[in-house]
Amino acid sequence: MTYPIIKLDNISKNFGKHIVLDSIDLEVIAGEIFGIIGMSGSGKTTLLNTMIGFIEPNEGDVLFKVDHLLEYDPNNQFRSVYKNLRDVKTTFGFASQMPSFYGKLTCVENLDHFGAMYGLSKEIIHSNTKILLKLMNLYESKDVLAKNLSGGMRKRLDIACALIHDPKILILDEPTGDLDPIMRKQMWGLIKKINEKGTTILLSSHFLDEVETLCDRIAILHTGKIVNMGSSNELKKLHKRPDEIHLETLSAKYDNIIKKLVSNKQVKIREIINKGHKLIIQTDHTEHMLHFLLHYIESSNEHLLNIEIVKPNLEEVFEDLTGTDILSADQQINRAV
Amino acid sequence: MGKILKIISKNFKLLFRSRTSALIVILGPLIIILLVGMAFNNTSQYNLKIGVYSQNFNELSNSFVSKLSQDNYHVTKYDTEEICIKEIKLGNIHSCLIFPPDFEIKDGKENIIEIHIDYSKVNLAWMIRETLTEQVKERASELTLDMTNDLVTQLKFTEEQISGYNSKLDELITDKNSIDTFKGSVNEVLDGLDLNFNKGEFKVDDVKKSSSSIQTKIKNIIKNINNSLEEAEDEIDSAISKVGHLNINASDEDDVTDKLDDALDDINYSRIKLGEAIDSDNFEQINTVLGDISSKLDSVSSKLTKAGEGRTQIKTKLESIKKLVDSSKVKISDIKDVNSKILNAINGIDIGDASTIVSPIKTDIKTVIPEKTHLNYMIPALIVLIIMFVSILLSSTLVLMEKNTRAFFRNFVTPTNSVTFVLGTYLTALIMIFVQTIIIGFIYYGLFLNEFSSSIIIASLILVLIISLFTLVGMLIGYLFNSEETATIASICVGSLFLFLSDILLPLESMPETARQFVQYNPFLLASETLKKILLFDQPISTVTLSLGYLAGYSILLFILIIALQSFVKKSFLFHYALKFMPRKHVRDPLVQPTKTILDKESANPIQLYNGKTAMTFLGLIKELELMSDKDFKKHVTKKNNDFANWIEQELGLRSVAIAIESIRDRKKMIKKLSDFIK
Repeated sequence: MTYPIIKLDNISKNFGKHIVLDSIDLEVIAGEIFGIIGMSGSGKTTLLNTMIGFIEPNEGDVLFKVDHLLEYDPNNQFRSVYKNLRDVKTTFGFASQMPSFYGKLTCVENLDHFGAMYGLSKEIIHSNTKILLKLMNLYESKDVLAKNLSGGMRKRLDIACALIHDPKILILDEPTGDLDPIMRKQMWGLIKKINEKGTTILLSSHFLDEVETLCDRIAILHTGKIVNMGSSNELKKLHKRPDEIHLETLSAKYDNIIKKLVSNKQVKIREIINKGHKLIIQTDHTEHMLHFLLHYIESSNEHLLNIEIVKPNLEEVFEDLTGTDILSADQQINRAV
Repeated sequence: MGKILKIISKNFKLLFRSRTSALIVILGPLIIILLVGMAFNNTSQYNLKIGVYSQNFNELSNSFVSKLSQDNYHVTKYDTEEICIKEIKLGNIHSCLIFPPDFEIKDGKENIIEIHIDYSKVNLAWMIRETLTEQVKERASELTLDMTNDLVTQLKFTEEQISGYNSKLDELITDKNSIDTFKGSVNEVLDGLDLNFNKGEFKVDDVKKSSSSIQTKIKNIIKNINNSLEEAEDEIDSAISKVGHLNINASDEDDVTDKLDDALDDINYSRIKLGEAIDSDNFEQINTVLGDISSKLDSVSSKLTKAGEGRTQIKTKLESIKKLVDSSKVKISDIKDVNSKILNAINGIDIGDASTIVSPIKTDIKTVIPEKTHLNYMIPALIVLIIMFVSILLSSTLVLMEKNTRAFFRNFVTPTNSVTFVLGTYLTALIMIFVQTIIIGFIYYGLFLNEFSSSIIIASLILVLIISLFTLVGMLIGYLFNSEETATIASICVGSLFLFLSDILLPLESMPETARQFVQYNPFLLASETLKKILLFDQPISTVTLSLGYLAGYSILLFILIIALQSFVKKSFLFHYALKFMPRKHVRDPLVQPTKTILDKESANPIQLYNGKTAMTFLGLIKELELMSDKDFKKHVTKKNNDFANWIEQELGLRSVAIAIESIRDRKKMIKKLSDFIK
């Protein structure tokens, strides 16, 4: 059964004249990985900080509801984050862009310290520490000073610190911001694992592939507004571009194929692009087109090097939804500033 | 409580793992204490070096020099006043004594010894002034004693003399009675003298008259004789003339003539004699004698008259003398009375000892506590001084260590309130400094003084309050400033301010009254005075309750301020944390990692390099970096600027790459980092 645990009700926040968040409404479903994607300066971090009560909005309210708080609230009503900060702190875990721990304490000591700050008993701290170190693949380095850890290990330790009190909701602000591609992939696996243990995860990122891979639902934040929200597929469906079939043959002579395709009235073709070494065909009937191409290659004795279906990606969706490409989006920011 | 203990434990770990901080904070004070302890653990007379100058050293000036030398001062004589003073300026001597020319003790002569002191050696100057003035006074007192001894001896002699003369005055009074008797006798004698004289009784005038008549008669007789002799002469002459006519022989004639001539000669002679008789002063002499007699009689008469008058005068004088003697008797009696009074006064002087007169009250300066070494007196102020600086520096460092760590944010996320963090930091510093203070106390009392104060328990409690106060001051500084450097400077400034406005360097009495009114509430002054009363003088705690009240009041006020400031810092931190990720002007940030297209993308504004080359693409930049010398690289990458990061961010729009290389200051590392993005 899915139910929302966080509700953002018409949240607006401005710093001086600059509007950072503008009338944001969204819900986070328990157990999901919810991603917020947007350019740098789009308000992602401000939104996350507002959700956990660090920053109070100028308008609206952030409400949360967590099962274990039922004993305090028999009606299981949503509670305002700003009026229940202590409960927010025990319910939420937060890992900011910059790792937040003591560099001169070891991994164990850091977890021990923050566990104590959450008021956990020694036994629970000990147990959680062991689980988290193993989960984060830090057990071998548990007695290493945090400052001596590698970038990826630091990020993992930071997330471990955010999880020491076993929060129901984990907020990750740019979790792979400064990691190399391999480490990023490792981190994705880790986030998945945490989520599988029942922790609802909210993450912000400017890596489209990351949110596409990780998140059940994605909110696209642009200039302080949620321009769209939904699963990766739901968002892609909104994109105007059809699927693309990329074809590469050994001879790289595509004129005959193009003639055949143009003369074939059974398969609808939007556009054919000859890149020289590669032929790109945009079509609304991907499956038919694929069959046609494979059949043609087989019958014409061409040697097939590669054929792939390229569906619209989130980058394109983002460009579509924000109405601009990447660079023009930057210019948009400059104008806003 | 568990949270606080955890924070304390964490703070200790962080502190001890910051080796430099640990060394400075922990070992620094102990080393200072050891050095100060060894330096001042003595009772020497400060080893003062005194220069002296005199135009001509005499017995008196040398006695001063000897006095100083005897008291273990290093005394050096100089040839001129200028050299002596110059030596002070050069730091070779502490003070210079200039004796006045013709330095000697004379009535009405003022002797001023000039003492030249270097007042730039603030506290020492006061001590030198005090010590030397005391030394000079001591010698001056010795001289005064000698002179007073003389005076007392003279006074005793005077007493003896007056006592002796009193009997003589009695004799004078007795003599006065004799004088009275003598005066009566003289009066009788004088009265018995017959000074009556009648000149007429001597009939001098009658004699004169008779003499005159006799003279006249004699003269007539002589005249008649003379006439007769003239006639006789004439006759003889006639006879002589007639002799020639006488027929007588010539011999006869001659004989006759001769005889006549002889007769004539005799007559002439007689006439001459008569003439002489008539012409001589005989008669005049008689008259003169008679006149003289008359005069002398007159004189005698006159003298007798005067003698009579003299007698009268003598009698009058005698009467006056009697009166004077009577008066003298009265005066002698008065003198005797005065003498008696003087004697009584002299005898009435109870103290006849010169040293008692010179110094009827002597000062015997005794220390209120048994003096051990100079260190003994310095301990309370030294302990408070070290506590002050260490507490302020340590606590401000602890706060800034916490503020500047990345964990500062995570601590905010936990449900631990601000007061717990403040208490944790406060208790860490308190424990650390208290332990240090115990070690310091042990070093001082155990190692140097070999005994412990009996008030050690109360002193320990007061120390806790003092440490708390200065720890809170340091924490306030820590929360006020954002960098350790600024906080350290602020800590030293605050500590120095407290120090300068106390009586450690300058006596408070040298400050204006208004300033003193404020300075007396200086926490450092209150703390050192309080500790001194307890540690040095073993006073009961009731004597320092007011000071403790002030110290506690300050501490409470500071704690409230810190809590308020911590809350403000938290809000400010979160605000800036949020702002940190706000869009910046001219920031371009692609939503993807640098792709091949972006890596190859040519910038409209290629980066101009110091080696004369340019780079237009991301890959081009890496290639140029590989060829670039480290020297040229450092021109682009300084402490404040990173041209490559700026270009990558602004021209290529690769913000994440720019952030990643922003802090890299090594060429090879930068190449590696940039290459990682390509991989």
